[in-house]
Amino acid sequence: MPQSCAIANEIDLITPATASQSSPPLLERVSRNDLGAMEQCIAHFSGLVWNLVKRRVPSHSVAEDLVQEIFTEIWKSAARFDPAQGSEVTFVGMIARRRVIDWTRKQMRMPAIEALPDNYDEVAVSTSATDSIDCDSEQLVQVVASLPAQTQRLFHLHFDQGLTQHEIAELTGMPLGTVKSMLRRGLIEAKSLLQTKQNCDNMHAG
Amino acid sequence: MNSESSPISIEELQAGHALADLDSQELAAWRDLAQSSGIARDEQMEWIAAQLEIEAAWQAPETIPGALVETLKEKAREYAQPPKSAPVEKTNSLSSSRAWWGWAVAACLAILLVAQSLTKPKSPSSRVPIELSRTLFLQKTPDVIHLPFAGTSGAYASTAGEVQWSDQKQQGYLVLDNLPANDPTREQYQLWIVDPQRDEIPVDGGVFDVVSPTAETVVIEIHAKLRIQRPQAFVITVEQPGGVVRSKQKIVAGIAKARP
Repeated sequence: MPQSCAIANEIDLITPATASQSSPPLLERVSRNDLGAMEQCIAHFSGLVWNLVKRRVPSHSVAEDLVQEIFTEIWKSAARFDPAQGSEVTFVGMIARRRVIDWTRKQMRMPAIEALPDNYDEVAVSTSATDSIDCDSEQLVQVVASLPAQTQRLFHLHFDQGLTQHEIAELTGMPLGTVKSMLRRGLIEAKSLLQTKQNCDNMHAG
Repeated sequence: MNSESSPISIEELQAGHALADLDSQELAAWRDLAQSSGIARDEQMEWIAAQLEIEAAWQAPETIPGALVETLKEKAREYAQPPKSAPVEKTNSLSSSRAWWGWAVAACLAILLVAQSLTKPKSPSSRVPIELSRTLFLQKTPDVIHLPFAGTSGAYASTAGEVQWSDQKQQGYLVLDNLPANDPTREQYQLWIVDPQRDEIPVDGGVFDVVSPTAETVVIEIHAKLRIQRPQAFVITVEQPGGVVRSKQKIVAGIAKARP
């Protein structure tokens, strides 16, 4: 696996945050079907998973089903967790976020074309530019802080507060299309700044 | 889509994909792009969006329902200790015939129960939970909209009722009179929520059956599969059992439209 973003493997390089660093790691014990570890995993991460699911799934019953599927996937995938590559929080969060997004996309009605195959998201090869950036959460924090104030505000409302674009539009009085466009442009800019920062850091290191 | 002629729109598509905010047309365009150009999702953008979202969710976890935690623990127990396969025993003809009779009796009972549930009107007590939850919903939700439901024609001409919906809670109910009973083995009712602000394609609001006599009022909980932003109409269609991904609207039973 490259040293950069490893989203394809649902592992990456976020700061470990508050995940337990005791040894062996929780997920390692989960991978051995240690029931105590699995219950700890539920206690530790269920709030995170529930938050990520409820952000996108309004139906309570569907959300509950998804949470169960996500934890089953976590237990099945736990053996792939590598503490050297990222935190347990990120590992779990990536699985949950991806599963929820996959679910919402499958709910979308595709006009006049065939239904999406389950693996449609994996249809083509990765962008070659992926390897050119190291994903460091500290750098990301700095990059976001350097974005225009209005973009930062939208990022805060969307990512931190979990508001939908429609809710942001109502709150700010901005047209929905503008909110959508600004969030997208902000993400594009963040990526560009992150690449630039990485290049600069590499030059200094070299 | 030509990736060389419109690089910005491709970037925006990728950003929208990373944010998971593509509507159905954009998602179709993204898919076409992926298939024709060999470009997959932009992992850097996905990483950025995911990190920001996960970090925020981790800092402010939501309280998960206690019953769901118990279900998860039960699933964990099952997962950690999968049921051992029963040892293969030599069975004589008597025990195997007993087993066969056991299954046969169980199957007959199951068929009887299903038949009863389809033919017998539901007792008032069986409707208490949904009536109670609807009453609480109406009492405690300030933004509920009430839209009159009108049947179309033929068997549905006398169908009437209303939709009660809250954008804030993403919750709602159909209260319907004179909606004919359906045979769930042949067809089911399916609710669609028209929300042009979200997407031009209606959102699936769930399938349901009416097993009561037609004159009885039925209350159906709405299960919107996606977040609704500003519903303009609610439409009931008749579809194959299990519902459909996209309705051809061959049979429309009723419509409730938002007031202009």
